[in-house]
Amino acid sequence: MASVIEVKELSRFFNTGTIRVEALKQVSFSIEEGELVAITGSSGSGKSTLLGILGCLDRPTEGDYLLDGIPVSGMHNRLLASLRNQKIGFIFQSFQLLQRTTALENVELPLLYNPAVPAGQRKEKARRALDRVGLTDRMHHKPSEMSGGQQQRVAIARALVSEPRLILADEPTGNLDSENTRQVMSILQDLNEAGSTVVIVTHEPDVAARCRRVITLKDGKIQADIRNPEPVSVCM
Amino acid sequence: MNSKDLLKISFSSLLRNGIRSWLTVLGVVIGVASVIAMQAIGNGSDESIKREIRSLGVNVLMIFPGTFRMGGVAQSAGSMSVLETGDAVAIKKTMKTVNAVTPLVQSGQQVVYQTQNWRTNVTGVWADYFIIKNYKTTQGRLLTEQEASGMSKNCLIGKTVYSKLFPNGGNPVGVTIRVGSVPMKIVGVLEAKGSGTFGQDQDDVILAPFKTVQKRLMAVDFIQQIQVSARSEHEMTSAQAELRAYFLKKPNMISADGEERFSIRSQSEISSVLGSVSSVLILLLSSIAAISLVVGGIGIMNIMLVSVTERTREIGLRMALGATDRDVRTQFLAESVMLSVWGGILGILFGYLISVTVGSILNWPVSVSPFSIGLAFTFSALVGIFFGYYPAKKASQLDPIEALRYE
Ligand SMILES: Nc1ncnc2c1ncn2[C@@H]1O[C@H](COP(=O)(O)OP(=O)(O)O)[C@@H](O)[C@H]1O
Ligand SMILES: [Mg+2]
Repeated sequence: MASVIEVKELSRFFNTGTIRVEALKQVSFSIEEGELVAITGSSGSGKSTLLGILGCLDRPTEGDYLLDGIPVSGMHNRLLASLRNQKIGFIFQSFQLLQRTTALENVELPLLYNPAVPAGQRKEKARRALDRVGLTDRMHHKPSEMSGGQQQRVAIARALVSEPRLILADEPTGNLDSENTRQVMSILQDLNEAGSTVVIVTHEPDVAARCRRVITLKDGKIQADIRNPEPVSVCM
Repeated sequence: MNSKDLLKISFSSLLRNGIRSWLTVLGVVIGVASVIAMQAIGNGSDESIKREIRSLGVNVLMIFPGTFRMGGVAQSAGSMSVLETGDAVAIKKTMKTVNAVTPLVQSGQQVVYQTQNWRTNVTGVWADYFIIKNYKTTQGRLLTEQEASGMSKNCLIGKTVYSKLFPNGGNPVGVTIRVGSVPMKIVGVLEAKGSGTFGQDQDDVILAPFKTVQKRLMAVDFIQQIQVSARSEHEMTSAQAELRAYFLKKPNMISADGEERFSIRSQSEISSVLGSVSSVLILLLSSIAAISLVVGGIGIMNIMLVSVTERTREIGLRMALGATDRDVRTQFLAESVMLSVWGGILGILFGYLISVTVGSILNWPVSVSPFSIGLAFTFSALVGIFFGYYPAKKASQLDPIEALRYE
């Protein structure tokens, strides 16, 4: 069976005026279905750049990326958009919720761009996603009426509403205190237990310690790729 | 994304910027209102010109002393005396192309009956005037040929004069009223003609024998106008040529600086002057319309550009969640079209109000046609598409990663 993610000698360069920034250099690895992977490394090591490519928001300068066995490097933008919509759920450090829009409507957002989901089913799906993150009672609240942890849980509900193959989180706990960090990580671990492949970019060691595999980047290269036989469990 | 979602999203984002949205559409409102008013007033003036032509009578030629210009009749000193009653007599006798002739004098007079008092225009005419203007009576009879060409003190009153002097109704025929200082007997009430191009009440008149008005009421020798009607429409040109030849043969009809001291006008020339008044109005309105539609469009473009910048992160997010460039473009285009169409709807309402107001002031039968509403609607939608396209395209070309990082 094909890996969910397979990258081969992947490079990403940025041309900023005279200087060429090499954000990723010849990176190769693969991630199988059901894995929970942390990508760590110091600031500027290329974590977000890598996640952007894995999420089909960006394209590599060189190398190949296969998502679910499909080579996406040369794919048309519109196909990439529908891949993002159906196969990938994003979680961001800054939540990226639409203000002045209720939790329910925020969670519905990806379904708006999925022609396979009839309009009548959107509310129900969004409601179920909010149930899974324990926010049933906050459905009609706006982001400004919720705590940071709750906002991030709304964002997680939005990421899982389409039942994607892959959940990508870029510093999901970066803006949260330890209590909310624990809550968010528990939800992500639960999702992983339930079968989702989850990739978390983080520079927090205790977040990485909860993942079964930790890939460490340094200056755009993989420095270490460690399996963690006993990750810190959900019910800590 | 289906069109219902699209409308919902666009509408709620416009609602969020309530006041800004209102101000933005102002230009379009003015533009569309002008389109509507232009069309309504244009139609109204056409209609009123037709009405005027009808009330002028058939195949009518008018001879004025002085030179006729676009703005009216320019009368040089002494020009009043160039037309004489004798001319009317001569024209009636000699010209075969002409079937009715009347000299004309007009004077504002106070008329009194019992306790009722009214100021009106008294026009002195021959009986041919009734043929030219196609006058009929609703009560009594017209003046006879003998009465009208003599010094009889019989007269005809218009409907307005009747209602002012006889507020309680009753039969005015045979009643004597005082016109200025002259007692006159009413022999008939004229059939209503309604109002003229500029709203003047054509029923606010008294018609009396020419000589009676000229000599008794006004005590003058000049005449103000001679009206003739040609026997048929295709004899108009030859009648006009004959009249011109006649007056040019008369002594003193050319002024020292070589200008003719009379002018002959047909109803079509009069209407073209009226037409030019309304076409000036239409030109004015259409330039207002064009300018404000462009200004309104630029306003929409500006506000949409601001909106794209403000919502950069939202755009990035939507793209990350699966919106294609086309989805983003359509969303912003929908917003700008919604703005401009909303402006269009307000503009149609305003334009309607303007038309009705202008119509009631000028007494023109203005009407807002479904065609012009459709036109205005189309225009405003086109403005939205045209000026919304660039901001929408800009939004759709954003890079999702950079957009998400935008502060
Ligand atoms: N759009 C860009 N243009 C130029 N340089 C960039 C861009 N994005 C990232 N970089 C550079 O690439 C390197 C890796 O960045 P990033 O992936 O954001 O690191 P991390 O997320 O690990 O902190 C950094 O040196 C950064 O400055
Ligand atoms: Mg980063």
